[in-house]
Amino acid sequence: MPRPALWDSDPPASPMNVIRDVHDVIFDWFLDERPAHLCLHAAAVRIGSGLICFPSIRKAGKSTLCTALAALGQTVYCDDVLPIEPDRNYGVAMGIAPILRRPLPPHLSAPLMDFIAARKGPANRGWVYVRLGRGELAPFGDQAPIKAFVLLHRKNLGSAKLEPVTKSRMLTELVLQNFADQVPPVQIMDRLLSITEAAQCCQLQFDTIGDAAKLLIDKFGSGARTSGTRR
Amino acid sequence: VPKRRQDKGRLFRRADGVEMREVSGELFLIAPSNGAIHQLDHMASGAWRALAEPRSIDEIVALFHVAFPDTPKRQISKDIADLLAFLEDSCLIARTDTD
Repeated sequence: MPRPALWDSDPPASPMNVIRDVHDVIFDWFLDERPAHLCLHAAAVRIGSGLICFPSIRKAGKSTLCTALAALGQTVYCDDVLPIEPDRNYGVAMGIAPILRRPLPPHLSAPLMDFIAARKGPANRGWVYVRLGRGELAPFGDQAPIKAFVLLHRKNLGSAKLEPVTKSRMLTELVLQNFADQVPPVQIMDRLLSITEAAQCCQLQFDTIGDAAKLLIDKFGSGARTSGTRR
Repeated sequence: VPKRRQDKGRLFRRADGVEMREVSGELFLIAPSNGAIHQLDHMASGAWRALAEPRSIDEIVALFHVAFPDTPKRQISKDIADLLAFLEDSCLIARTDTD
């Protein structure tokens, strides 16, 4: 694998930057080797029998939500980039730990703060990796079906709530968030359409991460829990 | 519509090779030239459906005027001209002189 091209012009100043730079380019290396994979800018957590995916919305708190779900016994597949393999359109874990923006949100519960503190990984002033353990973070290559797409919408309200969104709205979001460009556009469209049609599509309005995590587990955690498969 | 554009053909038609998918009643088009995926709003979807057969801009404006009788025809004409220009620039429709 070539080293990140970025390093020729802007060498990393700290171990944290080395890790982030490698993570940034590892997806390019991954997709070069697997040109038929789609790749969404999204987080995904396995809850019950499948993946709940959160298409990227800036500063919605998807990485913190992933970590909160891990603290409640769920398995994080990714907090930023979700590859989708071509055979069954399953999501694929990259085995990369979630990274949280610092300072952490003030409303996080004490147990969640303790969970994060106990797993503090490489950090700098702005970011900290959460070193999730076995069962908390799916290993590289694990695959699971996509059960739902959830748009995160943070707003001040009493309690978290899930509302359905149209398939067309979600499809538009997924088209925008896909950055795998080696798949022919018609195939991208048809695969994303197939995945969207098979998945529940919702918007999650929430105020606190804890409420959001509990609601997601209540809603999606009832199916039989299955292990991810590897191929 | 600028004269230069009118010279290219009197009628508009769907461009060859455009792929269409309908999801929840909304249309997504894939341009064959560059692979761009477009979601059409209701107005663009209406125009695209109307272009199942070649039509002039006047015909399309007339269709929309029937659908939206409270909207001034001048406004509809401007909106349709802008829309068709966008669709043409996006390689989703083309001009023709053949009915």
